[in-house]
Amino acid sequence: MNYSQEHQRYLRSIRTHRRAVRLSRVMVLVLFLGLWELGGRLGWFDVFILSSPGRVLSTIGRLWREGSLFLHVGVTLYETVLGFLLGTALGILLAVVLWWLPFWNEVMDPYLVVLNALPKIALGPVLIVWIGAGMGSIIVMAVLISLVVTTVTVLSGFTAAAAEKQLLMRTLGAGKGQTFLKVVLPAGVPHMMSALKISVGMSWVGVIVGEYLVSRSGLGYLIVYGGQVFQLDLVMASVVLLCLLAALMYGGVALLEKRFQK
Amino acid sequence: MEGALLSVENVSVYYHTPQGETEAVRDLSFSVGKGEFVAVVGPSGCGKTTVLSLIMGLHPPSLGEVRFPQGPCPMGYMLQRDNLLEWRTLEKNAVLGLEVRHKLNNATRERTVALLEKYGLGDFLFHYPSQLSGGMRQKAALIRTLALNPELLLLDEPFSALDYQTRLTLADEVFSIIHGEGKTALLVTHDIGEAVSMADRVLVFTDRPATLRREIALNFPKGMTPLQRREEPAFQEYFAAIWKELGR
Repeated sequence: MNYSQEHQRYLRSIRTHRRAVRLSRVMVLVLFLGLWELGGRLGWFDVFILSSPGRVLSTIGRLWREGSLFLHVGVTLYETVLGFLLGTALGILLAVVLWWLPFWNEVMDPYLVVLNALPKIALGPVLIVWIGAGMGSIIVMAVLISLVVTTVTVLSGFTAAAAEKQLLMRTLGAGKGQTFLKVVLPAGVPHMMSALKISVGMSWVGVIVGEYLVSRSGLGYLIVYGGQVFQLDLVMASVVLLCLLAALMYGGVALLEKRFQK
Repeated sequence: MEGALLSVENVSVYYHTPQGETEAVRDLSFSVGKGEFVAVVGPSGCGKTTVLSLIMGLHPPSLGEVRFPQGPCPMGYMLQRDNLLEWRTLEKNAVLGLEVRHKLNNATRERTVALLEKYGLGDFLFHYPSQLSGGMRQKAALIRTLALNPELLLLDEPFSALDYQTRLTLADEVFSIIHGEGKTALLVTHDIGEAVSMADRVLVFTDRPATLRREIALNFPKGMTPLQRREEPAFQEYFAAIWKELGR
């Protein structure tokens, strides 16, 4: 295709811009890690307190050699994925039920508001007493924390599904079930996707806090343990691993969203 | 009127809100004969749409009766906006009503696709609504209504969301579709020109509560399209007459 000079200049400027952004992103990370490492070596701060990229790497290496890396990562990942899936599924189910029963939706509204505002973490000790100091409590915590926000977000999506489209379905002779399946549910997909994105982060919070309270393994456990025995290398290494895992999971959800938008 | 397809008899409608009671329609009577094209004109917010939902059975009359003297009459409703579902292709949108009523089979699907093709949407069957122009979308919405093969079409300001040029051309097309398919139509609009260019008869409503102020039969030569009617001297006279009624 033959473009005018001006258009070619325009296309080139877009490409340059994109490249600049990508390059700068990498630079920020390199600069951050570089200063962190350099500062430690030059004695600007105490690596015992702040750790350093090299020490984080060698800590991860040590965990790997000891064979506990996959145990801790696996446990946390398992709890998070399970909590996330259960929380999202139950949250969407609850939203469907409340959409279906407008009377109960109205009745439950203030309770939902309070539950949404309540820091679910406060329920931690209660869960431990009820369910026991184990993985069960951690998963329930993750479910609780992602469930309410999913219900609220998805329900608002359902109710926002253009009233006029629902009227259209009535004029075509559709009942409530068909209106839900053909209009409200598909129209709610974008809201469900944003709910997924929120609850992916939420379930990490639930799991890590749960592991702080009760656990013998998992990244949250490593962080607490490392803090108690003053091994900041271990804490930082766990945080770095968490960053990677959370980013990966978020990326997965974003990918799913893209597929659904098709 | 005997032989009427639809007869609205002394209907009143009240709307209830916690703030009070609103009389939307008062003692309204009119009828629509088979094959007729009737337009309802009135000031905005005068309860024209109420009359359509009344006929459609979406809202019961407080007093009076809506009758179908020739027996139950299959109806189609066309809304102001096309409300095509963004996640369905044009073809799937057009068969939505059939799907809802569990009448979707090869024969009805082919009939619907034939309608789309006949009225110039054949190349866009697998396009999504966002890829179509406003006029095409509204035409698709009409065909979605026609797919159920209704006897009576209720048109609720179907052109008002479109730009002026599209509105004129689409009015022409819809007019020929409705006549071509031999349908009866009741068009609600606040656009006097639209009513005069399309209808056989115009009902002028008063401000709320809506009652029938006057009925004006339009005598244009048969087979004249809305655009051609707009060229006629009679068009201006009818327009002026209705304008005067509305301003009274």
